[in-house]
Amino acid sequence: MDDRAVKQTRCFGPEIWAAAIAMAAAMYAAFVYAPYVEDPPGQRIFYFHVSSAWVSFLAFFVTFLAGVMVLLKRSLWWDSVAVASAEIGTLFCTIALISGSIWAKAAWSVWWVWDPRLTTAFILWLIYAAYIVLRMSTPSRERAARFGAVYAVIGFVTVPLVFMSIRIWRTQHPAPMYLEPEMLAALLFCVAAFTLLYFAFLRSRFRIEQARRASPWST
Amino acid sequence: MRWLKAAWCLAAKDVRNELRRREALASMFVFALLVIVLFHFAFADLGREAVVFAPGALWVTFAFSSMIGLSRSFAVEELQGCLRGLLLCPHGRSVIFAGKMLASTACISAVNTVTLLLFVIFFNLPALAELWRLWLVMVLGVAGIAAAGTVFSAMTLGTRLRQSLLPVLVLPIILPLVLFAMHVTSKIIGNTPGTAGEIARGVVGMLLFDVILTTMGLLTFEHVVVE
Repeated sequence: MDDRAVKQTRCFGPEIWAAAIAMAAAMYAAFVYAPYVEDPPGQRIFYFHVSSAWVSFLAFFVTFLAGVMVLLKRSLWWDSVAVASAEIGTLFCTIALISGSIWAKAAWSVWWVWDPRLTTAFILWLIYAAYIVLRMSTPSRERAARFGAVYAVIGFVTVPLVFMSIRIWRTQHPAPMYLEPEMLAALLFCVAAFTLLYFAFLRSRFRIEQARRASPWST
Repeated sequence: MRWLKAAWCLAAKDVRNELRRREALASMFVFALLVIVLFHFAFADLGREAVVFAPGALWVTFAFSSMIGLSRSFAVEELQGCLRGLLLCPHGRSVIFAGKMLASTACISAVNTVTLLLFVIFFNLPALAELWRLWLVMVLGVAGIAAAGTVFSAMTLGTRLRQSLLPVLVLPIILPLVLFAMHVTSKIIGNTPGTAGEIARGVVGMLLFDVILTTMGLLTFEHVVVE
């Protein structure tokens, strides 16, 4: 049983291949298909930036739902979903923050502005970084599942308050950009491709977690 | 009703315990003093006006010094198996949360009251007439910090890093509360006095946070205590 679980984590499932093809097409959509925009410069990073931000929110939402299920059903299956999704969400949140920072440097000639959306994303990143540290520091797996679930649920319900509390300080918003139809199409395609990539990653990471649990050396 | 009485009993026990030992109160107080000195050299000595930085500095002091109190909240129960005794309490685990949260709010507020007065004195804040309003805002903020802190303080007992993990867990969660509190405080004593509406918006935010965190604490507490 253990061997099979370990073997499963090694092979690329069909979802990985599908995601790889979709990502290649997303590159085409962002760099070739989407029309060139002079201002702001470096605008093409926008397609991957928005998609990464979307995936990170989706991932944190999945972690929240899985956390609720862990608390209700006390199931470790859902905990594997939660931990997988939280790690992927943190990764994509990092990508969104870094790509946003690069774009901000090109567009506004500063690396960072403390605007509500950026700051909320950053605080979200901090919450999930704390989530990962908490799990790393919790010895028993069953306990890590419970603690992680409580932290993920509390962290997620405070996110609207985070946004509100920053808006009370800074009221300026970056104006939503007007999107031409081709740009919108490219964006939607990239978001779809990233979502597929998320589910592919989720499945792989979930299997690794399950295999780790099944392994006789696990603590 | 009996649930409330049990929570009150627990809180009274904790406050009495703290009044006898006074270790957490003393260390929180000394810590707050040290932070005041640091803030003086960080800002006031460079010619910044106290009314500009005091609201922020005040809440940074409150947030950090309350970590000391919160980290003691459950650690004291570990001695001689007190925690097991608490868990045997017949009213469910949420009672422990309510009692601990009340006691933490009381102890931290007591220290912060003195800190608040010292802030006014050391930084020459023109805030004597506003003290009671500042005090209410402080208690409202401390209640939220205590709600989040009680859940995570119980959690840290079951981790390898123990209490040193507490600030990492609590600070990201209480960030919105602290931002609201800083906003309200700066509107009360800052150099740009705010309208009643602006203050009310911040206070509503703080109340929302307190209610949400207390509810979450009552609901999830049974999952975080380690037997």
